[in-house]
Amino acid sequence: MFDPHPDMTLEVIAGLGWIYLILFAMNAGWTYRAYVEGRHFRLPDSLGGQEVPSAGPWALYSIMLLLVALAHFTARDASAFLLRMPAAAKPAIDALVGDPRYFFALSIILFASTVVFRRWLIRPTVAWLLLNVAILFTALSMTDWDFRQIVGKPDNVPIVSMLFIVGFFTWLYFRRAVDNDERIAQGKPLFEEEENEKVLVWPDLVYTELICMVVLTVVLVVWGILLQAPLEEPSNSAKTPNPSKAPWYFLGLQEMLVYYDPWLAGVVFPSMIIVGLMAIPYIDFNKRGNGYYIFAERKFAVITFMFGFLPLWIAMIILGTFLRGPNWNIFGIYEFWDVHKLEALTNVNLSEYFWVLSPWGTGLPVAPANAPWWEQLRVILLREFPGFLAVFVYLVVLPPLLAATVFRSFFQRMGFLRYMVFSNLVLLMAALPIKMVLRWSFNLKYIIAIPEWFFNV
Amino acid sequence: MPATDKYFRNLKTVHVVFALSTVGLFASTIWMMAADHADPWREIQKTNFRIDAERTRAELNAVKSDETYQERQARLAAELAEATAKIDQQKSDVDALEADLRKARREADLAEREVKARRAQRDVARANYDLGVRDNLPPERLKALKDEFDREQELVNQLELELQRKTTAQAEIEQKLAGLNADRNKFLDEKKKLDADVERLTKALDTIAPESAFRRAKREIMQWAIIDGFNSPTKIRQDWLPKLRIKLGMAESARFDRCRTCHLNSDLVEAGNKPAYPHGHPTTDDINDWVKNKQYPHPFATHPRPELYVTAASPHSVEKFGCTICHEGQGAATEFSNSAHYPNDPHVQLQWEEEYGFKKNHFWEYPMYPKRFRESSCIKCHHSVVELGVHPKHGATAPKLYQGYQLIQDYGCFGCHEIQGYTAGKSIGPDIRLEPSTDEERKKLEADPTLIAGRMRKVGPALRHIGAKTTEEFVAYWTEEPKRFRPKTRMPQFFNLVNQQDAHGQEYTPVELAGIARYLFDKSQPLELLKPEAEYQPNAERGKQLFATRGCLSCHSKSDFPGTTADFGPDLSRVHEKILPGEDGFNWLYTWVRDPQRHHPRSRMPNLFLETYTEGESTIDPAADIAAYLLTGGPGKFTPPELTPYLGVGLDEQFDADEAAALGLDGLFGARIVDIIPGSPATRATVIVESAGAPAEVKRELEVDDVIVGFNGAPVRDAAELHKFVNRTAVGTRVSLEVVRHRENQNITVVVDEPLNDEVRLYLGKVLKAAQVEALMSSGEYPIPLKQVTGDEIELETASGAGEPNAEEFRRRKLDYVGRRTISRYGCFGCHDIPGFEDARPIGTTLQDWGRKDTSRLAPEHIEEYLHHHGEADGSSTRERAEQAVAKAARGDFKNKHDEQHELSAAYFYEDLLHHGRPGFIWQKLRSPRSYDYRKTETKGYDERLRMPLFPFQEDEIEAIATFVLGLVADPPPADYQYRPRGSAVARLEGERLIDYFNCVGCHIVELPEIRGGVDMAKFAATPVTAADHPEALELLLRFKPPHNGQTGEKITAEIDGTKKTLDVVSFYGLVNSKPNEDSTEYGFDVWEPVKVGDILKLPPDRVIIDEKALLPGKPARGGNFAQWLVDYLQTARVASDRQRAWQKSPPPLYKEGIKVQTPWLYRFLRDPYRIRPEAVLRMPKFNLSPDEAQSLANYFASVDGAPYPYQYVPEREPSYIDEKNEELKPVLDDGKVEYLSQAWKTLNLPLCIKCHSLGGRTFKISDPVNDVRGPDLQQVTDRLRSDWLLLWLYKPQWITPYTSMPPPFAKNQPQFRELFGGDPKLQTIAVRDALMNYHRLMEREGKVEYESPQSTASTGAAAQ
Repeated sequence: MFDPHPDMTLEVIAGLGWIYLILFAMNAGWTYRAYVEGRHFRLPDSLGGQEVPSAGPWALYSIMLLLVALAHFTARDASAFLLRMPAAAKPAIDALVGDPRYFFALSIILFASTVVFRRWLIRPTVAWLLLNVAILFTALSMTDWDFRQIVGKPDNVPIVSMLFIVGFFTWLYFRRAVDNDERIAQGKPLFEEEENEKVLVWPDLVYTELICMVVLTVVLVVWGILLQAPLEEPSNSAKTPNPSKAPWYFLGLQEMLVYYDPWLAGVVFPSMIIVGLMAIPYIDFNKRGNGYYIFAERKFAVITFMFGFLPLWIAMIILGTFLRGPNWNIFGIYEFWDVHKLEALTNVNLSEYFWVLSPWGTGLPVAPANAPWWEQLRVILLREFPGFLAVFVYLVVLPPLLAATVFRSFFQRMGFLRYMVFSNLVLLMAALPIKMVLRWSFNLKYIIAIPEWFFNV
Repeated sequence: MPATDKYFRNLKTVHVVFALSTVGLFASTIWMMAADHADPWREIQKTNFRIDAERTRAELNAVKSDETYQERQARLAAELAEATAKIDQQKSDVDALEADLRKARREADLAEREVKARRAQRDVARANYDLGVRDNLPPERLKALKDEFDREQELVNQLELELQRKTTAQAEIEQKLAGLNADRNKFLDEKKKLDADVERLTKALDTIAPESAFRRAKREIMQWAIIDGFNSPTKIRQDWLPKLRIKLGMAESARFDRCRTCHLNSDLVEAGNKPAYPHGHPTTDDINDWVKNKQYPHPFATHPRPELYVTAASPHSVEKFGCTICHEGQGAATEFSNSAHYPNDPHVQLQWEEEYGFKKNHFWEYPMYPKRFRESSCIKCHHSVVELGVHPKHGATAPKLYQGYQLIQDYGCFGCHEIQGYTAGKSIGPDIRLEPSTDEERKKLEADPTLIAGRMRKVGPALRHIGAKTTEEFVAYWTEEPKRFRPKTRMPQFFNLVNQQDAHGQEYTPVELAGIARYLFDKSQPLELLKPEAEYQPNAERGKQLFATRGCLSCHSKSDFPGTTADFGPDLSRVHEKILPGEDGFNWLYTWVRDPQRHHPRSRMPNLFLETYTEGESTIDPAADIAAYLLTGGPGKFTPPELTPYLGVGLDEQFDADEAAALGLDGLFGARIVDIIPGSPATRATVIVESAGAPAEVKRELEVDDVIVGFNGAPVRDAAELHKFVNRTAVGTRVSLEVVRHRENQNITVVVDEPLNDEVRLYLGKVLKAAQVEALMSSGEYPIPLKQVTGDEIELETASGAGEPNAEEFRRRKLDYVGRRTISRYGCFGCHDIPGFEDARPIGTTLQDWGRKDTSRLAPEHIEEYLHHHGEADGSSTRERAEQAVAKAARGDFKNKHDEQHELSAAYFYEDLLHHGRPGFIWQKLRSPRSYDYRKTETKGYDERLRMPLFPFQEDEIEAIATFVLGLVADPPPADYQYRPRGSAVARLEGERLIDYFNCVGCHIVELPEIRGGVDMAKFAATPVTAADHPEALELLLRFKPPHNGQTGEKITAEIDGTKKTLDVVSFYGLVNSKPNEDSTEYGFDVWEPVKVGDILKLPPDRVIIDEKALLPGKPARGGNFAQWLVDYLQTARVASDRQRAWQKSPPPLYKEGIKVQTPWLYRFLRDPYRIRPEAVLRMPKFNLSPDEAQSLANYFASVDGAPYPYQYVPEREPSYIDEKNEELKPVLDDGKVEYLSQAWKTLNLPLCIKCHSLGGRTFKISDPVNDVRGPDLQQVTDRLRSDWLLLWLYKPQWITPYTSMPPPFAKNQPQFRELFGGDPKLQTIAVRDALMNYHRLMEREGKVEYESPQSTASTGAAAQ
């Protein structure tokens, strides 16, 4: 009654019971699958070393889930209920995800390991295990009030499902791609060639689509009934919500606003993203990989795209949704969203680094207050010349340099114009993580800062 | 693989999947519709239909089972049968007539049809003619059209005649038939009337609960989803309120209240304006029980007090006001939680959660007021507030809110927290602000029509001349903790509160107390004191009696008089201790008692006219006697705050061996530091270190957990010893401390200083640079010229050219400075007039819109943590208290309702505080204002600490204040919704405020008590109207005091004198005359207002005897506690021989004062009262009233009694009246030879009035000092009394004032003085009245007239002419 933020309530426990019951049902199915397939594995020698059917451990695991579900359904005292996220684990996890640097690093690592361990990852058992771990982690985290507030918000339900959907489709891609990679390596025909599934529009395509449409409608209707629209208070510009968040699909963009000026993060970058995606067919010189899943033949393309999509888009949405709290501060997933939490904001512009904080610093050049406009312009340009130089080097000098080195073969095959478009798009994409890293490590605010003209980079 | 005619999937399976998915779609659509239709309000409306059906059925049964009904029904049936039989005997006649009638009807019908058709043709002809005129047709065509019309009209006329003939024939037959059927028709009519109720009820029942299965099914189907869109019996009911707009974020929109969708019966009343569905808490869920016991739960109940709320006839009809303008909540919602219902306490919340699945609707900005605050919203419209506490018709409609309002006024909250009731001259809410404190400010406000001046005086005494009143020591002692000296004081406590318990607070508190006292006395302005005559010997014993009788006790209490409880002014029990000792103090008190405004021009203490008078030989100076009495006991001794040197460390007073060991000491030795005061010597400590071969002094601050073991070489054993050493050291001395830090010994040098200096440094650091501060501290010279200093630093400023002050002078200045800063910081000037703070603004946040203050702008800080572990007065946890309250309520363990309410209130506020709500915030703020500094003092500056003082409020008072403050939303509805009193209501409201503000009710009863008790009706007789009474007088009496209906209809059973009696309870207005004593268990009451019980009319001053066991609590008197006390006191002190005489000597009840006195006179009297009644032991004092205030009060009395004001018409002074009298009374005026008024003047001067009153230039002489009663001088009457009232008074004084000694001068049955008006007592009475109303004119014209017996009239009568 007097705990406004209870970690556990009987309602929550009952709800978790259902999750565990569903998980039990899923694993019971998996057990059955394992039993039907009849696969065996060998126990380690320390345990006797004999062959056991794979279904065995799955059965044990399923029974354990059933027991856990039952324990939830029979709980009578919420405060004494023990099946919850251990208190000691929370600060550790918060420390890891509650720091944007670690979070970003983690997303890069996850992305990289997905690519590196793809062969292992695509095994059904591994995927199933990961799915189990993800569900168990979510369920266990649900025992935390703060986690529940974020994840359980009706607004955020699509994002939670998106996590699983993105995971599934990434997995599906790698499964097909790795399969085709192996086929090519073994000289076998591609999956798409072997399993050519050309079908009739009617009834095979249209009928299926119709069914999908109906089922999707059912899902939306049921969703609409069960989760009421998350209406909040009437809007008031004098009293905006804190944090004020964009719709979930824009949270990646909103995250960019932390690092870039609105004209860049809100106008240029989104446009470049769209233009860049449209330009891909014209930039792409790799004729292979058309019409079939493949990884080995299009490593650069796949990794670049995935990097832009997973760590720079999906991970930013996750960051924006689950970790950005009041005052746009970062909060751990188990951390109370307290408006009183403060972060020191002492960001510094590149020009200040150059003119003020460097050993040769003389102070920022300032034009006399009543100087003519050309004098003002000169001083501003002088003040910001390190930034202009950096941007010039990045966007103008770097592409030829790269053409001569890393992208040598690209340049040769693309030609100058195509290469310049390509390299600039890649560089612009890279600008986001670069700026993020600069912000975190050097408190760098803007590379070019001309507030006089509302022009900041 | 190319496309083949084989399908990819098995079509059969796909069909099945498709079928299943469509079934799923169908099911989910049905589910969606069902979910959409499953609104809780539908069930509620259906339940309500059942209730209505049950009620109607019960009513129907009641009507049907009524015996007279059944009897009449049976009789009618018999009579009908008889009548029918009679008709049957003439069957052939009847049949023939009926056949004729049928035929006649048919013919008439045909004729009527024909007429109608022809008329249509005629109308066409007329229209054609009109069109012809429009089209300017040639005359011949017009004529043709006209002829056509004439033809048609002629036909119509013929047909109409024919029709008339036929209907007449029909009527004739009908009449004949009716004659035959007359009897039966009569009985049928009667039966119809008798069955009207039954029919109405049956019809009503048939609508809501039809008997027929078909109609039931139809009604059921009408309520189905989708079909219910077409006139379903269940439907949303909404009140649309386009004028009462509601702010939704940035937008404003009309208000839609759908509350009545569930609260269907809220506006339904029965006969007598009583709720048709009275709210109650039925114990069962059975609707039959509800109907039977007339108790309905929410939402089926009617709104309480239908005469005031919701019903169309009430001032707050739901059609005009809706619901949410008062209750708040989301009016558009139709679901329990969404409509933002709000539980009254956590216990209720738990019940709701269980019952309704309740969840608080956080997103609605206007949650409903919980029950405890339901009065809050009244002040949205009732800006003058007073009418909510006192109302002639409705009584106290918002008592809790009104209590809060009064508390805010009494405790002077507005001194710091302005409640600004106006924006640009427009009223937005109650206005409670200080009056302008300077003339300049007043003028500025008067000049600007958009600004309206506040009107509250400061609640505390003026401190401008404090030096003349008391001692500096007392002021410091008092300020520290006022309750210590006077437990019932209203002054709050500023010091020794929870945020001053650390070393910093402890060290600075004495400095601030001494500073305040120093400042006040330094700035105190001299006061010219009055003195008693040099040789006068004050008599304290007599002073005590004068203190009791002169009215002091109407506002003050004193322990010598245990029965007195007045707390309008301070309790004077210990006043002698605080007054300046010796003659100065005596003279001050003498002056204060004689002329309070001399010391405090805005004091509400009146001038009591304690002038010297003579009694026998001796001259008595009552003020001196009272002063002597009050000073009995002599001055008290108050030690001034001790200002000692300090190091700036807090020491561990309970340093124990374990701690010592932990810090690496060999044994328990030394003083351990637990706290370092910022900016104290400890933070300026240094050590000498070898640096580059030479010793250098570097800064090394003392730290927490340092243990001081040596002081200048002497060992320090414990904290007490260190204190002793430091106290002996002069300020500015360098001392060497041996300190154990991290198990190492160090020698740290500290310059001992005093907290005063450091506090000065702290404040100066805000306005000066550090170097300037240090220079100032050493030289004493302020670095900035006087003219440029605007802040409190002015106290440190030396007059230009004065040079450096000496040390003593500088220290005095520093104390002044700290005192002034402290006064500024705490805002003492909000309540007190303090020199130097004339222009200071209130320091607190304004409250006019606090009820809507954004909760994110409240700073709850660490209050949750504080209340979790502390919070209660005894140090226990508030959280535990709240938890226990809820648990106990759930178990039903509370002993009584009051405890339960009290504890659950605390739980409510605590729970609210957890959600950072406003109610919780204000609750804790008033319970312990400084607790919001819990664990904040460590990280904020000393001068940023919270400053709100602790007021001595009880928790229920806090709730009352919260009710008021939460209602301050500064969001008034449009003007025509606001309560804008006009005419007499304005006078009444303002007067009500003033009689409380000046404590008129301390002395005077303004509303008589209602007495209720059981009487034996056999002994309860009417007051006889005797032959001596004038019937005109009775008429007047009943007009002035319409009889009160004393019949309550209740009974009481009491055991009296050993027998059990059932008595009838009566109620009346009157005063106690006698109380139970050893001889009797009975109360005797004087009736003051005519009371009617059945046919029995009792008039004043008849007596009603009620046994104490049969006495019931009635409404107590409003005011007059002192008068009632004084009456008893005068009897015990034998000043008055009986109760009647005691009343005559006491302040009179101001009962029906408005119809008694003339308003202009009352105005003058209030401004400058004179002695009216020579008998009274005290005089009406002169209050510190402004002309406006006096005028309002004078108007108030007239307005309350419905008398005309401010001007009175006195017809008796008009020539027309006098001429009329001369004409009318010609026969008794010696055939017109004697002028009426001359004769009247003679009548007045008869040897009747002079027996008690001075009049006509003659002074009444006391012949028997014990028994003679001296009445008021009659020359005052003419301006003072209203003529009608005076007439009644002259007819029969006791009917107006039961205790008066005045006999009726002209009894009706005892004609006397036959030479005057023929000895007609009525004419004589009127003549005396007229003479009195023309007193001055007659005195001038007729002069002194002595009555002469009729024998000598002949000789002197002409002379008198």
